[in-house]
Amino acid sequence: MHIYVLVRKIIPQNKKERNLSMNAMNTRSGYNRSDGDGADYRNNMNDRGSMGNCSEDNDRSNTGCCCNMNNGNAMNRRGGMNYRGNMNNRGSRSCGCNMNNRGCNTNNCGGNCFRGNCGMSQEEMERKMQQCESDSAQRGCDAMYGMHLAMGYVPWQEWGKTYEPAEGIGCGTIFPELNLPFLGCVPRDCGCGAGRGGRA
Amino acid sequence: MTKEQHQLLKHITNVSFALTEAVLFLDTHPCDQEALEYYHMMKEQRREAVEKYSEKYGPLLNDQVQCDKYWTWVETPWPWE
Repeated sequence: MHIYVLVRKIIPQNKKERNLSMNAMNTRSGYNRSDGDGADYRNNMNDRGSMGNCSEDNDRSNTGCCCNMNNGNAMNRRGGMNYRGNMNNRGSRSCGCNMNNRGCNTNNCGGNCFRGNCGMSQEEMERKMQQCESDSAQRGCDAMYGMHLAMGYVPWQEWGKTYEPAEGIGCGTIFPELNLPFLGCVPRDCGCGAGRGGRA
Repeated sequence: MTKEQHQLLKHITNVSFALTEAVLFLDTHPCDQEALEYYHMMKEQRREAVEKYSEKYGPLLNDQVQCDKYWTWVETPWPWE
């Protein structure tokens, strides 16, 4: 139930503002950011499976593998430093950094990171991907390798059916749509031993 | 504690939880009429239940003590007794 506090912080309360953050894809979740560097990001992630969002200008701290873009028409570039991105494409390409087959469970914590080629050529992207995977192998299995820190989204909740109070208290929420199984994961055998025994 | 008292206390806990949930929802959805109706409904249910409990088993909250010369709060068993 504490999640509502987060919602309040990151979603504009004013309806007019909220509408501004919504786009033609009719998403209910908006995250607006306007940096001092003049870049204006309005990224909506309307995909339950998406785990992150990274823009090419934000890509500062990794080997270049974490770059989105190239989701077909999902991201529209409007010129200059002004981007408005949509993460609406379930079938978008991942650049391979999510390490689905590295022995760590990434099914729910990294497999849907949207990444693209950042305008690179195919060959260059492949080279970056190889470099990324090589680095990842050295780093251990970081399921969210290359994804930006502290990026998240919370879809706008709407009032619907509620549990009876006696049932709700047992579920920890009166809202059936929030009564979800825990699907987080702790990487195993990542070198430090911290993840051992964690939930796969 | 009798079974009836226990059930009433449990009911108060349940509706209090539901009320808190509604409050949290309304914090971010202050115009939601359905949520407001739910809030008022739960608030009323809670008020009735607490009132009923206080009458039968003594004050549940320390601002429900009604006395002039003696602190009757300590007279009745604690809710967990």
